[in-house]
Amino acid sequence: MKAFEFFEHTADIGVHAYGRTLEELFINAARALYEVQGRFDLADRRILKVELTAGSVDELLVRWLSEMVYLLSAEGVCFTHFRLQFTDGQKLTAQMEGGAVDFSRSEVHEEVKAVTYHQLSVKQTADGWTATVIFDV
Amino acid sequence: MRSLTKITDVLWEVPQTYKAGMRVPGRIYASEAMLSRIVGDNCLEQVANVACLPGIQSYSLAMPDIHWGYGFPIGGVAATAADEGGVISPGGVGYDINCGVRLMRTHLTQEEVAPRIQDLVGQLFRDIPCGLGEKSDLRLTRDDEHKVLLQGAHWAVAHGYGSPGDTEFIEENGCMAEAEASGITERALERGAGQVGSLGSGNHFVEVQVTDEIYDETAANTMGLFLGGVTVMIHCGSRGFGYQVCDDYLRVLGRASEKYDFRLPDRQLASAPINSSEGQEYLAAMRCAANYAFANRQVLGSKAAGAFLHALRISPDALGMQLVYDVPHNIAKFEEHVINGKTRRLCVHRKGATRSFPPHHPLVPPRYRAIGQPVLVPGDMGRYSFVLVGRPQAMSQTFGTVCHGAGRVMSRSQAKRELNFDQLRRDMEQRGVVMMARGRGTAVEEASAVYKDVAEVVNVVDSAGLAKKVCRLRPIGVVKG
Repeated sequence: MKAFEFFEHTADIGVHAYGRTLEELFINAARALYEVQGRFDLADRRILKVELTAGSVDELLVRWLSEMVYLLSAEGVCFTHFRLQFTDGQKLTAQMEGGAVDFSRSEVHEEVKAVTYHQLSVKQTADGWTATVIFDV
Repeated sequence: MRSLTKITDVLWEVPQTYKAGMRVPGRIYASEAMLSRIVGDNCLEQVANVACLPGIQSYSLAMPDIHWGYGFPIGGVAATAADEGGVISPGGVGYDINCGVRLMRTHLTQEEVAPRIQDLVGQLFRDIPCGLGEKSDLRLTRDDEHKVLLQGAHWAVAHGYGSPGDTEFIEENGCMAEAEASGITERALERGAGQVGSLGSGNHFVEVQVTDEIYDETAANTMGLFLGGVTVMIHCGSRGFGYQVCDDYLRVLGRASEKYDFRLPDRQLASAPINSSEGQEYLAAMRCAANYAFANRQVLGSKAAGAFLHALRISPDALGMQLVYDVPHNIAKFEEHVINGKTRRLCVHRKGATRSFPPHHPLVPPRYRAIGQPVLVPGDMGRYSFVLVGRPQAMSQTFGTVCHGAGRVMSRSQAKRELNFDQLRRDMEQRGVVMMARGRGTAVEEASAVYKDVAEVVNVVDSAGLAKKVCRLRPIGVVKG
């Protein structure tokens, strides 16, 4: 199963992400978010736990990806390994492993400003899960 | 296209019957040649959706650089009336609150700068942090950051960036009043702490230009622009601070839309009544972000001036760098406009659209009052940008508004498939432009081929009488993140 693919959008970047489980879907969406922004060399090792809640699973995806955007933008950290637990599709607890990005050694593309709600969808399919989300660059 | 009624060669109406829920018709400023792409890009739908906003006045407007956006199209303009339950909508401002353009002129000519252009662009690239991960050398304390949010460009001037005389030549005099930081989240403050004086990436740029065509000598002279003269243009906004404020308030106003029972055709038109606690909180926070951007461009302008002095080894007097004007193109402001003979105070949303006030308007700086407000419209990095001045027709037709740039025609993924960085650099060299970019992929996504020709866009607003062309600026050096 493909992890994710980008699709045409005039001004920004659209992503279709896939996963056999909701956890895999959310992880692949995060990997797509990082791929847009570059290939990052990490200067150290960090472990972080986050808890997020939202009114629906698609909003939870936006909150999850927005957390990654914030952590990269404000603290310069990105994550490569994840364990996610979901409650009712509205609450997410994540244990994440990654590190501070060494931008001088990394291949840098462009900053994702925000994760938008446009064309947002998270759907269960015969094979697992699929999501569509657009990043504002 | 059958849905559109032709009003003039450059003005088309979307009738109120186009979609259920429209409170006013839509009006699109565009040439006939532009229309099929506008319709194909689904922008008509977005113009119609904006027309559903409570309290919207006259028309849901679209400028000729219109392209698809979040909720509002880019190039979308809507004025709402608080006394009719009118709303404020963050989608009508954008994620990059007070993204805008600054133009500075110099005494220098192209002949004087051309032999040192590589050094100059290199110095700008070194001195101006740009690209993902590049932090400003300014790391603000919380206290300083709060001052930036309330004082805007004045904070920057007080800390030695530029001169006190600059603020008169910034829209809102470089600071929006009634900014209030109590509703700003810790996240926004964290994102913003290290970014004042940084360029970011995407379509932001610092450009060294030459005035290569003049259409209105008097207006150009008044602005200090002359044929062959070197200028600097900066396109940037409120950085991570503004993006976070928008993100934070889209959630708040999403809940508010349900609370106030707005049946919006697009969740990204999340809104609240202007006269509600949610609406007032967003406005107060938006003004903080606008002030952050005014401070940011003031610092960037000062750094650009420093790069010129260093690379060209000249004195400030010889450089003669002066701010021509600085305009937001993602903003919402309360302004007085006349509708059906009555003066109304309206909330004007400009999402990828620039204010265009005419001669004698009291908000135009005294130096420009005889000619009208300078309007800065950047094109793509390989071609040209334009300076215009506002005309009275903008006040009567578009709430004193015109376009903001060229508008994209090619997606980022298509650009990456069809173009490559080395080819782009050769193309830019052939056009006589020295380019330095931190993100090679970003540069390709910003190539000339992905944008409309801004001359076509500007010609539409000029033909429509909304603004008048003053001069054209051709790039000779570009820095991108």
